[in-house]
Amino acid sequence: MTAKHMMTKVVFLTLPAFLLLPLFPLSAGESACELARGWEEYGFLAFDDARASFSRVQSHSPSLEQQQEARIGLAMILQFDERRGNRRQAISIYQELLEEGISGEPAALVMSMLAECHALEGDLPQAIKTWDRVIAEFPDSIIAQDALVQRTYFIMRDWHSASTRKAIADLIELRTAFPAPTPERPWLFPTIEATIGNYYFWQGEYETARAAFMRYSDIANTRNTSYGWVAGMLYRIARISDLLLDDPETAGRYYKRMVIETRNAAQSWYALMQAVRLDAINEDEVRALMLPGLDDLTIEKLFRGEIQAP
Amino acid sequence: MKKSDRDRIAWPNYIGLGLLAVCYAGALLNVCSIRRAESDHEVIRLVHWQLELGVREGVDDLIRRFEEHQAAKGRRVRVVQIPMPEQSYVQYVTTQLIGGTAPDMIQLGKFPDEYLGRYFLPVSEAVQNPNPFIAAEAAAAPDNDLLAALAQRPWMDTFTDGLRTMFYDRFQEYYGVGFSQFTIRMFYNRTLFEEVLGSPEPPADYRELLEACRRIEEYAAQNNITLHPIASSRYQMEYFKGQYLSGLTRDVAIHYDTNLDGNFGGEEKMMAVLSDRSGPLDPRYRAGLESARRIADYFPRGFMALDRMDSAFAFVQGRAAMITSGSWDARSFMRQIENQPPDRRFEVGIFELPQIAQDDPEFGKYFDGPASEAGTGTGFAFGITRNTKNYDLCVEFLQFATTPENNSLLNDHAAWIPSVTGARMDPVLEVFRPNFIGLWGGMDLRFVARGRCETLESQVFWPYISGEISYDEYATTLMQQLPPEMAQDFRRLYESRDEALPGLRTTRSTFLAATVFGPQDERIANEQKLLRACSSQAVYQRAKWDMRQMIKQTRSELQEKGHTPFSTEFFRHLDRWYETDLEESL
Repeated sequence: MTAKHMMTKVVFLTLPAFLLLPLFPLSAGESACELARGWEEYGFLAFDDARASFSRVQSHSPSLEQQQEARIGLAMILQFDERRGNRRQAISIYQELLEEGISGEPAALVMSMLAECHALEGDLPQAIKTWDRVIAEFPDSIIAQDALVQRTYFIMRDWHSASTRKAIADLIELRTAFPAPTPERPWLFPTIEATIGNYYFWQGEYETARAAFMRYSDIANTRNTSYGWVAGMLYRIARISDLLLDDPETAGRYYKRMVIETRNAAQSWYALMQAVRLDAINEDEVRALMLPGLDDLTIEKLFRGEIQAP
Repeated sequence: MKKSDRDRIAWPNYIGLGLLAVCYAGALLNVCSIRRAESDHEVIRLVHWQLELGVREGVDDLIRRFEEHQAAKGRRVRVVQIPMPEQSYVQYVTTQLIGGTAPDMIQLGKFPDEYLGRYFLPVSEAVQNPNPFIAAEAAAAPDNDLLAALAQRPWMDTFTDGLRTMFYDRFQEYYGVGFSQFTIRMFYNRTLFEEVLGSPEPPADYRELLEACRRIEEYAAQNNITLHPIASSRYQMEYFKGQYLSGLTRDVAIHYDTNLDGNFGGEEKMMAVLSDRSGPLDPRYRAGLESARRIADYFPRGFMALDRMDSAFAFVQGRAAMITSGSWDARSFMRQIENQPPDRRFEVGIFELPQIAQDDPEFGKYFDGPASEAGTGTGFAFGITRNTKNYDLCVEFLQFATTPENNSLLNDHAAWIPSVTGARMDPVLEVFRPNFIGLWGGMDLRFVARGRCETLESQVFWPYISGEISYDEYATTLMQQLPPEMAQDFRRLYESRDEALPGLRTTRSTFLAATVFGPQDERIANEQKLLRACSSQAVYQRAKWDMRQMIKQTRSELQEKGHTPFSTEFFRHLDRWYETDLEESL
């Protein structure tokens, strides 16, 4: 037999095995890898690849939990793929999973996603009912806090509307069900406080708005939120105190915090000028900042009042 | 056909075939050598568009030291630099990313941000841990307290800007690290200044700049030579416009920042125009443009037809006394001037754009201060593509490149500003260091990116700047034509918030899933990403309510004090949509 014939025989014998390979069951380890791959592709919005991975796990994993996770992945693709999605099919999968008795945090996720689908399909009462179930049943999960935030924003309309008033009242009441936040584990409290603060700001209730923004600043930092948001909030507290509440002490404190904590913000020099005007910072502290471009002459002029903010 | 004719035709064919064979063999050899190198070494490739003088040499030097460092550890590593012309960069990157054949590291920029989420791997985890190469530098210099402190900090905190511009809100991840920083200054011919003005020192303020321009122009006329005070093109004019217009309208931004968040957004600018607090008829706005136009009087005639490179040539060849450009051009300018014939070489000076003095007779009363450069981010930044097989090696390369020592050496070659705290900088470049002493905000008619008002303004700005129309004509045209365009921009801005929501919801969903199904040791990190994603979505949703609130307040304010023809026209156009589509969109 020639080498060519030999090769042809090998190919013909092994080809069916390769073709049948996807039909063999996956081990738990292989399923876990496939799920991880599916979520990774989902993160890159490569929904076709993610769908292939999830489908494989759904069909071939020996574990019910892994199959359910894969089905959640498939439903989320149907929910979020703008090109080839189908929200109604996603709703069916979520409902099936709940009927099968899926439990724990995956159940919270399924309910929360189901509620969002209902809301986007225009069935807000059903969505609210489902979100309320998530919040009541999973107060120890960040998923329930996300449900609360989504619930609020789907109900809200104009800042002065009755539905917004109701949504904010519910938000204030329901947030107490969750464990207290810490800077290490803030959960979604910064988003909640920013929402409450903005609502009261536009109602003209500046004291209450500032209190919410201050709670935000106590738990948010440049690691758990972002540099721009932290800087913006410190600036906002200072401005509300300065312009609307006639509270120069707090204004000065927050202008100073802003320039110290977020000196790379474009507003830092303005905040420094205001902190000096309000006697919240002394010359040594300003020197210690070592802001690029800030020389001794400028510092002297600043403290003599020759340089002032517009 | 006769035999001799056939022979004549055949020979050139054989030559062509031969050439083809040689090219094919060359390509084959090239592929083989690459394959061979890849089998012997771990190979990573990086592509960038920085073809300025010294950059490629700097990167080559960095690569050489990185390869030596790896070799000393017994690791055979090869880093390949792929410099690419700016014009074909996006095309190249797009094709390679889609085809799955992209280099391991790609310079960030030029291409849409969407690519980051689809084709790049985040470096968030790496930047939140210390850079081990800084620890090695610190160990080699035990007396250096700064290095010791930097070695303890997260890698991101060792950058002068805290790497804040490498964080992409939309994806809630850091996608790269920058090697350099860039600012814009004025370059000037010191030799000529001494000769014409009697002093090589740069102008101290705006008036001195105008006076210097006047005298240089006079000198050129007296001596009958081609010499322009300032080399310029549209590109440079935009810079003057931006600087002076915002410099004279900062108080508008600070006082009409309605939600007090330190950002003068498009909707707030529109409300300022609508309520007649700013806009083309505002004397501050007028002063901003007039001050820029005075400078344009000293540009070469027909400067709008020139491109950036034309004006650069005029400067380095001594045909212009000054030019505005970025720190990225410093080395190129100096080298090109050195290459001129001896009688045309000159000494270069650099200065910050002169500010308007408080006692300036025309504009002093409006000038609040220069722009803050505190937010200057890092540039020449690289991200890691998702097709790389050597993610860890790429991270190592980026860490190696951003120690104070290596960052100094890299930027020395290009005469650029280092991005890392503690890195040395050529004293000549000190003037480029970002200046934090400046203010934020300013007024313009750019309410929304590529908006209709911006286009309309641009159509009348250039005729105004070139002297074809007066300021009054500029303002009148705008006030007549702006209202419907502004109503359109308002609508676009409002709708853009809605259009962003599906994408933001999808991003949020990836972190929801990661929190529930991701590894337990990454739980807190995923929760924080979920927080940022959820906050982004909330910010966009609230922005719509903010816009509605602002328009409502402005309308009621105008009803009280009386509508202007401008506001009447604006609301007439807005209400056509506002009362129908807007309500339905809720």
